[in-house]
Amino acid sequence: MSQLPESSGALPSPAATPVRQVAAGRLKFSDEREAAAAALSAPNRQTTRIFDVPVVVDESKCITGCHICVESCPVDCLAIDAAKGKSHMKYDECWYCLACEVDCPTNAITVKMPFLLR
Amino acid sequence: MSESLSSFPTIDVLVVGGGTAGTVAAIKAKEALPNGHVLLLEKANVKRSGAIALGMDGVNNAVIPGHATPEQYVREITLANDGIVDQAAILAYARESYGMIQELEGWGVKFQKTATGDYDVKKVHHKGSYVLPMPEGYDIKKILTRVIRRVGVRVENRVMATRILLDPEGRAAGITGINVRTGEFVVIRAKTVILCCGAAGRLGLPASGYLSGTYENPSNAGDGYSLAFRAGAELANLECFQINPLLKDYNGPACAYVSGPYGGFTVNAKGNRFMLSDYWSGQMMLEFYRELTGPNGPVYLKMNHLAPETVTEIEKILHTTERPSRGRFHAGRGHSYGNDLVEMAVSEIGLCSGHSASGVRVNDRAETTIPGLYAAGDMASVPHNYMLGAFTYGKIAARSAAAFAAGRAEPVVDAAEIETERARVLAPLHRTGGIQPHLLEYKLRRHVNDYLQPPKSAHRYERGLDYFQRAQAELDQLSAADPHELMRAIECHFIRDCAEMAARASLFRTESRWGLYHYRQDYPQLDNENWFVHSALTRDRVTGEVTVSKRPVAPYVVPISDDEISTYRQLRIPAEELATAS
Repeated sequence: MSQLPESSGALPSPAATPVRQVAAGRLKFSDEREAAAAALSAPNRQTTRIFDVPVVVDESKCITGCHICVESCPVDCLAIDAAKGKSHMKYDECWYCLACEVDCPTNAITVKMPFLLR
Repeated sequence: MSESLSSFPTIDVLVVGGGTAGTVAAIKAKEALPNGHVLLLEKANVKRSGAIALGMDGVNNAVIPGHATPEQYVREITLANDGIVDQAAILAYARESYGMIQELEGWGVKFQKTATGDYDVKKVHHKGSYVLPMPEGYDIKKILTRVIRRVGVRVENRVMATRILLDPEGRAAGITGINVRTGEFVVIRAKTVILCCGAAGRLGLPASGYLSGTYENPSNAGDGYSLAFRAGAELANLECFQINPLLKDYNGPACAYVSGPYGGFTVNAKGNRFMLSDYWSGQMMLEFYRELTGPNGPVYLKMNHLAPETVTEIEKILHTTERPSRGRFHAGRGHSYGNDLVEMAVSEIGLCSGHSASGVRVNDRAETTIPGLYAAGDMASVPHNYMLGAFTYGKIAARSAAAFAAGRAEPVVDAAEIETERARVLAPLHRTGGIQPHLLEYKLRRHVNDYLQPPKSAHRYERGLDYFQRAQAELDQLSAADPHELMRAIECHFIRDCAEMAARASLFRTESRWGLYHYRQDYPQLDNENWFVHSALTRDRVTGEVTVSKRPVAPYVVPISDDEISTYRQLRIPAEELATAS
């Protein structure tokens, strides 16, 4: 993890501290500074979360090969789904400005208000 | 892109940002240098970019003969901005305002006229009349895009600048940037650079919790402020924040400038009017904030007393331009302007000279403190400049840049500096297991809300500043899965820079001024003896040290009398009048 900043000198290196015997129901670290150092050097892991997005594309109306809405979006949150060849909202960053809906030549797009604002 | 931008010949006038100011800057530069290389860069697409992606309902500061004089306008803005203005810069705008309107008309923009053919100017400001509706304002981006094509301006969409390059003499020499779709690193040499990057609108978090639900187009992440800061340019009055009265939750303008002339106005929960003027000034925002958070809050925009046909007229404007989704927002809640009061709230903070006075310092020729570097629009320090000011200063910047470019040899850039920048910018694409940009952005902006949202105090501000400095190390851990995320990662750098600048400038000015924009609880009084000055913030390019200092207010060219100066500080309708009314 070379990109992490140098930990402050006060924190002991995890390698210097012997790992304790595994004992169910007991903390594995001998003190909090050791725990913090271990947490800092442990790799980041991601999970996914489902969002309802404001831009809804009717794929039966969306023209394959057209990417007008993708070009219109001022925040670049739309993209063409490579597998389907249809537009979709890829990033949860909509400004509900309606550029995509207004510019779509087949009225395939409906912009909902983001739920948090509704 | 047809060819790599890096292999393109030296540009004469490079315009960064294709919104309001940038499109006009590029058009006027190309007209001035028909055989020169003029390049317009836009991080989105010029057809739908900047603050007016979906058009605008009107101009807020038209100075039209017969309705207002340039001197009247300068006086109004001097008062609205509590005296801290460079009047010469406002006057330069005011004198060219009418010419810009005529030019826009020539391009096909429609302004509202009366039956007799006169401009239908409305009064919204405290004193004068400057608001001119644009009945077909939804079309403005289409019109501008058409003129760009006709004049032959070269446009590169989806390119975001990351740094300004300087030559050994300290003059602007081009930019580095990335293509936000391909991740390509680009280097553009230029004899002049005009920054038109809009407001720092992604600074505070909207109360709704939806990160992109900002007042400003969220693409305006403060790019221009950060670019100028890193180049060593001076920034002015950054403590004079942008805070606007907006539709609660929707977080867009209501908009009093549209409804006001039709008879709409702001009321408290008791249905009483409490402000003399709905024109957005810091002083107005303070009265708004006091009412909102006081026993008579919340605050509403009242239109339900208007005739049905008037309401329909207002709806027609508000639901087709600027933020057209306002209509479905209200309808979704079963509300309408004719039946209901419209609940209002205070926006997140931002930096924006278009609405307040926080910007990169420019003079009346749009010159920044760096030779060859110009700024126009929301990010340039001309106060309360709005859309028409952006158009006009785009024109002024183009004129200055074209003249400078004509006398300048091929600029020299530092190859080592470019390589360092390439490595810095592309690092998040090569880093695995780092921090996602949206997380760091949330954390930065949450700290902005926690510590920088007025009312201000030194203790809170120092806590905020402490985090913004520590955040520098967190920026070094960002990773990006694709070029789009790389754009967001670099924007985190812009947001952090703006937060640090906002904190430092606010700590510097130990008085209160501009109403809510710089309301310090620890220094609640206006202090003209010590603080009738601009704040000037600069960062040393070599040492990285940031300094804030006082810059005198240049002698007024339009005199202001002593009894006039406090006009905008008396916006509250006295309580006894309210009692009589109710």
